[in-house]
This record gives sequence, C-alpha cells and structure tokens, in this order.
Amino acid sequence: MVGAVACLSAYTGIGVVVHGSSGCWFYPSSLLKTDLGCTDLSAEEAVMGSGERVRAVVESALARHPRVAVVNTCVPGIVGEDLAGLLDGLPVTLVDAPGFLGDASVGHTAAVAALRPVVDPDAGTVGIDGLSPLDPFFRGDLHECERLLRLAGAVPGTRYAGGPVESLGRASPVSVVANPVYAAGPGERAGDLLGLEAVRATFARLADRDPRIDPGPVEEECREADMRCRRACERYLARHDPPRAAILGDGDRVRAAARTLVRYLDADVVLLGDRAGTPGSPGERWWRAGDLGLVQEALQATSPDLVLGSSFEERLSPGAAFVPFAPPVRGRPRLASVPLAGVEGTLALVEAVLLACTGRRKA
Amino acid sequence: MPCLLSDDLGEEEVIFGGEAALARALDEAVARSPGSIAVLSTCVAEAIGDDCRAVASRVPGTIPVVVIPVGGFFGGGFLEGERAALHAYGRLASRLFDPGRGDDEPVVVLVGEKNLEFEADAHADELGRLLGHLDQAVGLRFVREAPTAALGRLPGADLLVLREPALGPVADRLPVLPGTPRIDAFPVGLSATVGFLSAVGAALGLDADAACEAELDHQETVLARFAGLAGSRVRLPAGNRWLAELAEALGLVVDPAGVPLPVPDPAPVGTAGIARLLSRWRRAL
Repeated sequence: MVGAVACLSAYTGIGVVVHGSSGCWFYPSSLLKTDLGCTDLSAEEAVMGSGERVRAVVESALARHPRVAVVNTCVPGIVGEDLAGLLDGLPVTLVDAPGFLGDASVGHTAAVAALRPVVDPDAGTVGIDGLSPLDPFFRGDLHECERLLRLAGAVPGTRYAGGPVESLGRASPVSVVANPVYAAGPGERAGDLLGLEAVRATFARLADRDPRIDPGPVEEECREADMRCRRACERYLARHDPPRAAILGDGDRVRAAARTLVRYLDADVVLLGDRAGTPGSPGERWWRAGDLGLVQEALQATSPDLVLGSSFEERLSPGAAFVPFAPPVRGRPRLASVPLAGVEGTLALVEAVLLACTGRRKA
Repeated sequence: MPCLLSDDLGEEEVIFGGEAALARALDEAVARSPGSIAVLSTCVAEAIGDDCRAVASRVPGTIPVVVIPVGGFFGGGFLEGERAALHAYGRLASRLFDPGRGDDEPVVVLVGEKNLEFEADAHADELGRLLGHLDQAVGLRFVREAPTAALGRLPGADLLVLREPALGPVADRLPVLPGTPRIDAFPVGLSATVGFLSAVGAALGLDADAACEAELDHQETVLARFAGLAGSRVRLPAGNRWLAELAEALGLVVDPAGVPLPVPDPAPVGTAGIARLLSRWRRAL
C-alpha cells in the first residue's frame, strides 16, 4: 500500500485517498509529507459497508484535484467491497494494494498499472522508469537520468513515477531505468544506469534504436569519471588496505555497487544482501536482507569494515564505515539530490565510500 | 534500536489463518531471550479472527507476554493505540512489582512520553536537569528505554509526571497507590517550569525554594543571551499564556502586523526548550 501511495503521490494532477484506518494513512503521510486523504475506516464500516464514507472523502478530494486515486488497504481488501460500483461516475482510479500482497515495489507496480499508461510509438521521448519517492536517491536519480538523456540529444519523457499524470496518456516507447526494483512502466527498456558499464551499454542500445541519439558525449563522461575514480581510489589504496564490504539493499543496486567497489578499490565483498530475497548465483555471498535477524547474523559472521545499507545496518555495525544506500536513512540531514544511477551516481558512490573509509580510520 | 519482528502475513495466511505464522514469530522472539514480548495485532489479524491471545499464552511463562489489540479500524486512532499499550504495560508492571524491594529514593515516573517525537529524549533530559535541582532523578520512563524489570517500580511510584493532560484517564488506571501525586503535564513556559519544581517539591515533601531560585537565575541567563530581540515587533498566536509571558520577559512588541514567529507543536519543554525556541525566533527576526 505504501509503495502504491508513494508512486501515485509523485504525479501531479491526481489526488490520493487511502481507503483504510487512520493508522494506514499515518505512515505514508508522515513519510511522504504530502496531502493524502483517508477514509478512516471504522469497525462498523468494515462490517456494514463503507460506501457513503468513501464517496464523501473522494468527493472532498475532487474539490482539490481533477482526478483521484483510491488505494485499497488490507481490511477493504479482505471485505471485498465493490468500490468501482460505489464510485461510479467519478474520475477515480482504483488501486488494489493491500499490504499482505507484498512489499513497496508490488504496490508501486500495481499503481502504475492502474494508471493505464498508453505507449505512443511516435512520442519521440525516452522515459525514466524505476523512480519511487520512497527511495532516498529518487530526486538525484531523476535529475541525473534527465541530464544524461539531454547530453545524448534525447528528450526525457514519461516518468514512472512522477510528472504530470496526463503524460501517461502518451507514454514514451522506450525507457531507461534508475532503480530496477521499481521498474514498472510499459514499453521497451533500454537498460539500467547502475555503474559506468551499464550507462555505456544502455546509451549504446538507445542509439541503435534511434539514430538521433548520440552516445558519444555520455561515453566521454564515462571515460572521465572512470579516470577520476581510479585516481582517487589509487591514492586511498596507497595508504590503506582494500575494504571488506557488506552491501545491502535493492538487488541490482547491490550487484552494481559490488562491481564498482571491486573495480576501483579491489574490495573484498564479504556480504551481499537483497531485500527482495532473490537468491544469488552459486558462489556469491547473498543473504535475504529483508530479515533484520538474518542481517545481524550475517554481519557478525563476516565482520565487514565498510557497510553500504540502511540505518538499520548502520546500527548493527557500530565499528564499520557506513554509506547510506537503502531506506530508511535516519539521523543525518539529506538536502542535496544525490543520485546512485548514472555517471554522477557512480562518482557520488565512490566519493561517499572513500569519505566513510577515511573518516573511520581517522576516528 | 527496538527489536521489531513481524509474522509477515501474506495472502495465504489471510485465507487460511495467521496463527501459525504468529506462533513462528513468537518462537523467534523467545529465542532472543527478551525481557518481555509485546504482541500487537493489526487490522488483518482482527479481521480474519486470529486468536492472538491464545497463541501468546503458549509462550513459556518465564517471559512475560503482553497482548495489545490495536487493529487500526477496531482500535481507533493513534492515541487509542498508545493508551492501550500503556494500560497493557501497567498490568505487566503490577505483576512485576516486588513489595519487599523498597526504593531508598523517591521514584519519579514519566508517563506517556511521545515516542515518535523527535525531541523526546531532550525533554526527558530537561526534566532530569530540573529534578537535579532537588537532588532527584527520573526513576522510570513509562514506557521508553526502560528494561522490563524496571517496570516493577511503577506501583511504588512517589510521583507521576504525565506528558500531557490527556493522559489523565490512563494515569487513573495505572497500578499505583491511591493518592499518588501527579503532575498533569511536562512544563511549558518560564513560570510553569519554576512551578514544576514547586509542584515536585510539594509532592515529595521537599523544600523547593532554593531549586526555584536556581532555575530563575538560569532563566535570566538564558534570556540575557537573547536581549537583542527586545523591541522587535512580532506576531504570535493569540490567547497563549506562556507565549505572552515569554514575549513580555524579552520585551517583544506583539503586533498583528509584526514578523510571524514559529511556535512548534508540541510546545517546547522547560527552560531548555525555551532557549531552542528563542534561537529559532532570532533566526526568523
């Protein structure tokens, strides 16, 4: 449910109503700090029906928005009320996303599908997929994807999620992906932008597809960024041993960060953790990072001196250098739009790792 | 970091029942040897009729288990959930009370701190500082950062300090001796902070005159740091006594056309809270 609400709230031109109890509303509301409606479902309404309440709340939201999305939570999901019938005639999008269906990415995908984007093969734009306001790198990734697309002469198009909701009516035929765990848009995917190799490959595919796209400037940026990372890391390695790294977060990001750390810092990656629980290839040190007990066990077993993860992993590894890499990131102000994707994303990651490792040694 | 486990109900449990999943989660909790386990039922468990209490009763008796039915749509809003948790832990406190173990010092209990409040620990520190004027300390934070065994001190409390007056009905049902003194809210404002010391002194039978004098001196020092604000024309919410008192102490000119000043909600606690607020005001001016 939270993933769906976050996705929908990223679009302008549509209001969001949580159909559930006030507790269901409180968490996304405090996290996203945006205008969310709520039907404040009570026990009586769960039994006797919530039609009048839902319609009243939606009508009130329609006074502020041209269109409203109603996100179903667990209880109405179980009760199975006919919301479509109750809201007949109103400009409403229904999203069935009770929490028991899965994690935030499941809700995000359900929300994108419910908005029914229509691909226009002649749109002449390149979409940006894999964006969620729940992701601490959401704004940074968006800016970086747009910058790289413009650098290659492409026109940034539909976002999943973000921008005017009307943009989904003429969606880009092809997209680049910022964070694959939230990739939910329709059309072709040129690839993700996690790491310099992926950036090169994705822009090469875009250029193959559309001769108006010139990957040269992006290639050049990748080359320069590669040099800068090499130089900075060689200076670090001249004085220090390579880090023993644990990386925990969304699967593809974890893989990409591991490749970057090995490439530039000769890191010993002792632990890779995917929150979605996807098993790794044989020989990889993958753990299901969605269970904090397992994460604690794995961190104790591997004793990393560098941890990329969330504030949870930070608290579990008090002696290690820490780089924010997955939500939640608490107790440290985050004002700048830092990316993980693209050329700047790789530079920002390597910079953050070097600062954290150097800071730990000074401490 | 609080240890939060989930029984991770999925579609299958919604259809076939979630009690087995809860039992597995409780086994995992027991394996960690906690001081106590709180089981919070959510909307789904309530809607499908899982008997969480029955499942929880199977946990070995050496670990106290508290079941708190807080399924959002059954349990009401945020405050109702908070009160249900305080009631449940009140009952646990009476089970843990050892009448033979008397406390040498008076036990001052903070009741119902807002655990999601960013400044919660800063407020507790400020109350600790104020109590220090009377050579007292916070004996129990009910419930925040408290080991389970410490909850047994609640029935022997000498003074309850509630976070806010709305917690009165909760305090009425806490397992304390009849007539246990109570302060209805954390102090907000200059005179209320000094008044807090007087109230604590009266409740514990202590002479608070010197403590009040010391705090007044401290407040003068704090206000002197912001003397430069005197004469500023400011706009403040009307009808708020502690704000009017603060404006007067600083020599601010309250004027509907003045600079609007931020006033946080919840209001700042104690003199330390006032000092932080004045820093914000100075930036605004």
